[in-house]
Amino acid sequence: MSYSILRMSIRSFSIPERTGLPVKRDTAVNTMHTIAFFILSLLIVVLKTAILPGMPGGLLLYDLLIPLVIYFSLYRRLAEGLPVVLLSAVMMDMISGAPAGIYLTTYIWLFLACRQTWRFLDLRHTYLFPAIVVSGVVFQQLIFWVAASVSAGHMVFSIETIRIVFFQILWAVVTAPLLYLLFHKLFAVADRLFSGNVGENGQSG
Amino acid sequence: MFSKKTMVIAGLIFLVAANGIVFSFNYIRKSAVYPAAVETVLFFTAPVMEGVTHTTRFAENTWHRYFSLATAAKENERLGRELAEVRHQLHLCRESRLLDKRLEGFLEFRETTDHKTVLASVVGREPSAWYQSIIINRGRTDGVETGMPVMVPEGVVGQVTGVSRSHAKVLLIIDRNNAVDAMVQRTRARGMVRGLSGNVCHFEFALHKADIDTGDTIITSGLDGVYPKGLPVGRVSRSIRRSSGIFQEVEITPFADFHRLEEVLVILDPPDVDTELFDS
Repeated sequence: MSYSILRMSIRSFSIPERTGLPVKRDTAVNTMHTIAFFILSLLIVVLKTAILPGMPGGLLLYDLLIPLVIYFSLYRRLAEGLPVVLLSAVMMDMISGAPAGIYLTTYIWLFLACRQTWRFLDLRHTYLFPAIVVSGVVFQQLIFWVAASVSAGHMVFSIETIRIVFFQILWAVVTAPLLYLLFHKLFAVADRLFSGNVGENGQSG
Repeated sequence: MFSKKTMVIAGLIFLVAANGIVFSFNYIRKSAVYPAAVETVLFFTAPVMEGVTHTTRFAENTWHRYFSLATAAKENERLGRELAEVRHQLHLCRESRLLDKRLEGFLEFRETTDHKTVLASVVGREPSAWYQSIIINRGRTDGVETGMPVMVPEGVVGQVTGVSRSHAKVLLIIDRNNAVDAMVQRTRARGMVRGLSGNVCHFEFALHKADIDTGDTIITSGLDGVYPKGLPVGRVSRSIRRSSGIFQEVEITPFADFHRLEEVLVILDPPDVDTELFDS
């Protein structure tokens, strides 16, 4: 009974096949895809922790894993996206000084929310991607704000925080389309490399 | 009209005549024949020689200039490479000098303290603006364990909150989740340093009656079992004593510059709690 409930709940988050997602592949190919996507998320984490903080205004850039999570949610199969999102979230929780589980909460909720909302609204149009990323950034900042306020015992508010959030939203608007194109290309290459299939949007490059 | 032969003969006669006239002028000026002859020859041939010499020199110079330019270009390239190499070496020397200067401070601190320490480099930083932590390149194999204090010669930096084999995560004192049991060095008024935002901390639970002024130095009390007693934390930047309330509002600017953290010291031996302070 519990297994059937689990299967039903997982199915409710699966985008139906008729939408033209990449065809089902065997387990080995799926594993290769997952490893490749995880390496991509690892590179993004290294960029965020080792390179960007040292640059002037580096902290004004938003969490670069959010566009990746949203892309996985909207354009890739559940079996491909969910393990990578989970692993990335756990990795960020371990590296960051934030309370444990905060990145896991953010990414999983974002992943599932985009996937569920797609069932009612067609979010997969390209021009909507920046708007969804901005929503994701705002959502993450909200989670962080709530967590910081709870740990401080009072509402945490400062002008500096507003400034940082504002610039992060601005960066999200500017860079989200570029990241969309980059992910699109990279994933198409990965599809061609590992399984010879074309990507979800039908383009091979 | 005239045949070719006639023209040639006429030309020859004309030349001889002109030669004779010039020769006669020269002969009038000079008594000897030889100098006059020389002058005559030079009169006719020198301009031609000059023209040819100019042309030859021009061609020669152009030729040499081309080769020397090519040589100069190669020499320029070689010197440019050498200059880049020298600049790189100079940059490395400057970096070494700065590193020596920083490490000198660490060495002086190590010589003045009885605690066992290990030097670590900062290899990563917190990716978000809400929390403040760093990753250092020392871990369990170097004796680093969770809970150990981390500092720089200027002051306290934070506490180790996670350790792997060769790296560790340090929560900075400017993070909201970190707290340091501290006291005012001058008056020994106790409180707790907690991160606020940016580069500022709060000195919480400082009693209303406590004597705390702007500029006072805050040091660790040693009572939290994490930081040894007497380590500098920061300086009081603002102190507000309201008419009501049990505690003062005190803001501290930490001594450590968290934007320029490159090397830190991890204190490996945990401090003993100073029980004398419980009696006072």
